[in-house]
Amino acid sequence: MLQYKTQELLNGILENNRIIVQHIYDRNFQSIRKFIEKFGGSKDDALDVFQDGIIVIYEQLKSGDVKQINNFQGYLFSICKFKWFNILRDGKFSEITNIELEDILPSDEYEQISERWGEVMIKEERVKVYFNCFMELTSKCQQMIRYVAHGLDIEDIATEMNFSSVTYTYRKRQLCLNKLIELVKQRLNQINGISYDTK
Amino acid sequence: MILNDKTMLIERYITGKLEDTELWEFKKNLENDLELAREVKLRQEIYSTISNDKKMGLMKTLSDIKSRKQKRVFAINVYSRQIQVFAASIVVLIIIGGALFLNYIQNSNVSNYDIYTEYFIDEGSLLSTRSDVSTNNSLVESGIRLYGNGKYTQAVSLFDSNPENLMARLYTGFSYMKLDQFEMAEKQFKYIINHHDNIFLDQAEWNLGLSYLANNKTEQAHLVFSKIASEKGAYRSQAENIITKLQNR
Repeated sequence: MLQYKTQELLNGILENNRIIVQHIYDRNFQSIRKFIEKFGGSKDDALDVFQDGIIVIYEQLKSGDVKQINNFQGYLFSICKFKWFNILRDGKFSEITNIELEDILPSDEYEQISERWGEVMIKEERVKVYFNCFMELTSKCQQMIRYVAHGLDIEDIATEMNFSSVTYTYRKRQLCLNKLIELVKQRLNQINGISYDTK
Repeated sequence: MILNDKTMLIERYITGKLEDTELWEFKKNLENDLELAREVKLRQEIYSTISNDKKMGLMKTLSDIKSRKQKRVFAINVYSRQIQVFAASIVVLIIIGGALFLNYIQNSNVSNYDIYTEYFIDEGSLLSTRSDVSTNNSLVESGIRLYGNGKYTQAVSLFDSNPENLMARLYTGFSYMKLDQFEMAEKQFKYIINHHDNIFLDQAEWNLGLSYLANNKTEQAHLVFSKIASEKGAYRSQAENIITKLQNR
């Protein structure tokens, strides 16, 4: 099996290199899954936690918040442990509240930085909602909203999307945006701890 | 109407299109109107998420991995009379339409991205090893070497310093394809196509079609591949194959 250096793995995350991300999954998921199943979770929970772990690393790399990582595997595993610790602590799995949460606290090595992980994770909960709602839209709407988010003028959007009139483009744009905002608000309202009052 | 006006104002504020008095009034309202402030914050966060192509790409990659690994589990009571009748009907249907059904499933599982990965060839690497590729530009040549080493982001920053160079544009397009940033790749190939008389036209059209496809712009991809299939270029038969695959889904 191909071996990558830690820096190559980190660059792979930063550049969304699918081959490297898949490699990270192949090399790390089973141990994360085993851990989460041991502490009451499922394979799906483990998949979510793995995703969150990679996104935390991405955000830390972007903000230059991460110092030298010598052991990528250990680092990712610690973030995932920390994420699962937070989920258990928030009581989302009531049947396992009696377990010794201390057992899965990050090790001393990561104690300080885990505070930052927590901040990123809270922020990323919302980002995940935006992403998931966006992915529920039709590909045309996704395209339209990408252009809007990139600040393209309505005339340019009409040209890029081969729409015959600006009026039609404007109407389509409003429909897509309204749909997305509506979905996001619904979803945020459904999730505990993240509220958005639609009134 | 009032809601539309408000939404429009928010949009214009977020995209920096409010001017002078309007902007001043809007900011004043923001300070006093909690609901407005929340609406603005929400939209700003959404736009900022969606405009972050790299992160969206990474989230898509992770979400694809998750979908592939997830198993759907159905809990069915096999002793139920209704379920037994239903199951029997399904078996009969499968036997009758087996071949057609399998064919349908096979084709419907093929996503645009699957077709893209099947047909995308790293022409950048092939070109960079060909002896006739000389750009007379050391920055572009360094960029091509970086590309060859898989350092696509760094390569793009070198190519960006030579926006008039068509070879640099082509490689920028390839780099963005490698980075799964198809929006950006499209721009490079369109630039080459709009330049008309040049030796990279065929490659630019072909890769524009693939970028559209990977980015789920199926109609636009279809148009490009139809044009390629109607001409006598190097990608004709591949374009025909893709069109057939798209039509059979």
